[in-house]
Amino acid sequence: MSGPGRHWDPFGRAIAPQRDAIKPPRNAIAFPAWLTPVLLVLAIGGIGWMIVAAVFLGGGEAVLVPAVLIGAAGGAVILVDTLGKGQQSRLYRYFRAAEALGWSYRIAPTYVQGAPGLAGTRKRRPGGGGAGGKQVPAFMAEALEKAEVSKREAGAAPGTPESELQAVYKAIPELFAPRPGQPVAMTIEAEFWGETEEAIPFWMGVREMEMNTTFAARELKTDHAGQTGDNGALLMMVAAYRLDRDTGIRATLLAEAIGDSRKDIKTESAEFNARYHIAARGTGSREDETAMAVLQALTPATQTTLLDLWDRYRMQAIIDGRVVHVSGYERINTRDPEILAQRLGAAAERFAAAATGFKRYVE
Amino acid sequence: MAEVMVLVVVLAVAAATLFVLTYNGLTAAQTRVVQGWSGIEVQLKRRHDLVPSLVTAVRSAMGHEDAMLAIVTESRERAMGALADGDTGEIARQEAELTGALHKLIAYSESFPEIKATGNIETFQRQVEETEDQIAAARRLYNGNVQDLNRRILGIPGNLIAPMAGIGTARSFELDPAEARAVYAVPDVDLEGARGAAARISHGDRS
Repeated sequence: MSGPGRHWDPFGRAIAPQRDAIKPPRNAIAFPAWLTPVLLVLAIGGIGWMIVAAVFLGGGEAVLVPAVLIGAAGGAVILVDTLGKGQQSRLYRYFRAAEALGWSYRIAPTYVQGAPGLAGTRKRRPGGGGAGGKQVPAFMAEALEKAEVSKREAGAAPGTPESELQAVYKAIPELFAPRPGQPVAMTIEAEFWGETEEAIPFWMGVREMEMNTTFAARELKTDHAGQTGDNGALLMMVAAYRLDRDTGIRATLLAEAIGDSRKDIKTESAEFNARYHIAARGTGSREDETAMAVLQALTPATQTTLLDLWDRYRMQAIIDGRVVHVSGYERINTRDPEILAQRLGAAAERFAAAATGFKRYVE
Repeated sequence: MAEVMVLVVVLAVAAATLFVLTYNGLTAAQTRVVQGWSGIEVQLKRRHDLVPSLVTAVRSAMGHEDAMLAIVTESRERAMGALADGDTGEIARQEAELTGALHKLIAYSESFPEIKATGNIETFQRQVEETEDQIAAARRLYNGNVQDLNRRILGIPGNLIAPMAGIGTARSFELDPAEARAVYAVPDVDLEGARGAAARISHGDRS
């Protein structure tokens, strides 16, 4: 929906130009970059230990020690993020990027019922656990509450209402769930509305996650800008823009799990079929009409552009009537806050341009 | 004896399964090469169909005949003939010539804003450029299919089964380096009274 003084929004929301003002974090404790990965390794090790204890040592008290270890490590991860003002730093980086690019910006609630993965939980609230929502342990609820306080102290406006974000997750769940090509579930931490250099209006949801590549393959230790380092950020992005024609289909172009599936729509390209699993449903009743509409959108140039974007961003896409939704991620191999802030804005801008790169070929 | 029979049957079933899977993989790859070629043909025909409209628009804007228009028209005729004959090498050559002729015509029309602004030249020009993008993309996809087929044929057990099935390697659709250079070189347009525009072209600024 768009109109005078409104941004175009793929989910039909009326969004007026706005930018949630975030203050730079103060009194943040600088923990060493390796601490969070070590705590996560401890937590994962604790899970393995607990399984072994439950299966081979008969459970009971033997499970208690690893359970405490998992709880302590998990709590410490949240504590490190809270005391290090990790969330506030991220929100401030998004704000800086939006300000530099002239985009609208709204922070999004991190924990939403219906969100994919672990974020699909609801905080324990006085008087009940929420309408059917899962409850989190008390220590986590406390840490989350601190994070909310930290967010308010940062001068953050109310941001996106939870119900709106639920609608976003419901509209394109395929782009948020973990799957081949998308290593972890994505939840939105900030929303942007803007225009590309070619004046194409777009919406974008982003989430920056900490990344450690100590044990990863060598090529993952250097990012696309040539920056090398074991600690950095994984910037996950999902974007949408409007086409000038109604394709009449809802086609999902997601990563193939293993090889080339037999149960999908095939294009003329072996490489494209090996990379993407294409499924579609159309407004018409005939399957061949739907397949024809998909192939009409997937012109040769659309396919080669998507292949290039797969190599660059692991881009997956949904063509839904008049709207194209895409998701992808970029590695930034540094924890330097200043470089990270600069690279984040540039990466989001490049992603928006890349995502709209095949618009004219689909049309 | 019974064990040997079981072993023979197991090996025979395994060999038959391998044969069927490889054969199916080869025929599927061969089909995709044919489909990929059809994709190129569709785009080439689309461009052939656009040329007369572009030529007519430029001619009517100029108000007189020009040798360049004749070259474009003749190049199109030869490209259509080559496509009908189906010789990929000849198609590549003729399409390269047509591309070169079209680029020169576009550069020519861009040198005269009054021509460019007339009729639908800009629209046709955009369509030609987009079709060329599609041709390049279709060629890339086709060549990918060719590589896939050839890799299957040259590897084991494809190299044993392909000759039995009568499936041979396919040729990529590519311009030789000299032709590619000629096609993508900036056209040398010498126009009286259009020195400024020609200078713009030689500097690669076509805005």
